Amino acid sequence: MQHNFIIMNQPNMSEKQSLDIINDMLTNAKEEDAGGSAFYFVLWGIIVMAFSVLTYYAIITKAAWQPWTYMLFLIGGIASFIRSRSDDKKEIVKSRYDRLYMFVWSGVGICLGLSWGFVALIGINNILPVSLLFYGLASFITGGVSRYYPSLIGSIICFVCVIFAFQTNFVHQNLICAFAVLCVHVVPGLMMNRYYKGKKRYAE
Amino acid sequence: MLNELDPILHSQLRLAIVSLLVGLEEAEFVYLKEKTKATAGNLSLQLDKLKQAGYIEINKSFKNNYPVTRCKITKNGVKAFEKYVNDIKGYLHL
Repeated sequence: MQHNFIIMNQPNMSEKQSLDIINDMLTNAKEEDAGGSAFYFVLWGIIVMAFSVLTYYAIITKAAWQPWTYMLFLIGGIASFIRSRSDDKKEIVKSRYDRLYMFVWSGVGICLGLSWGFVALIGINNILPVSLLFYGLASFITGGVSRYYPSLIGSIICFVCVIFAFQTNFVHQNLICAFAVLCVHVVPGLMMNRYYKGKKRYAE
Repeated sequence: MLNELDPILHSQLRLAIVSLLVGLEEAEFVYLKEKTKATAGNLSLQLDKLKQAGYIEINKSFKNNYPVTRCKITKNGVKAFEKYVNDIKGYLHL
């Protein structure tokens, strides 16, 4: 329950009042958690899903445009850059989870870049399951620490998908990847977005 | 014997500010004003007292050509807050 304090500077407040203020303000601070990351979840989820489905389609139809699908990541990078610039201008508070999300997902980006760079060594049939492992691990950590259970459930589904992906070839792994990303990124991102929009409307 | 409560933190507004900042990386003055519902003058005065006690850091800069004040809790501030919470629990027998 939120108390509507009109805060003065009374030195003789009771211990119970002190505890109420602490609880209220800690709850307020907790409400700032990770709301802004919903956009990136949905954006990158849709990009990876589209990439996987288009790659699958291009391979089975032997289409020549398949290398162009990598342009999706460039579009994602530009969209993320523009959004983060706009967020920086509006941001009046930084939660501790912003830092966690930034470091975990930047780390995943580096690991994915390195893995795809050494795809010849890792093997084409292993690259997508390995990528999914990184996705699953990052969502498991961020979902667990921020206690955002849709992400945690999505990461567990992602781990199950990895088991199936390791037992099939690159072509079909693309479909598994699309499904895993839908569970780990798109659905939790849309749920988060809906929750924060609802909260914003309620506050207004 | 019960410990004496930290007089810097045992004030509604200063306690509210520190309780907010302990759960955040950093916050701007407008955010603290909105959450604590304090007046700008009073908030500014209490922030200054917390800064003098070494409990918070205040960083003034510009954003989109407007001045902006960012506040962040220090290690001393976190320690003092934890001690204050423990002392309060002692008083309330929690």
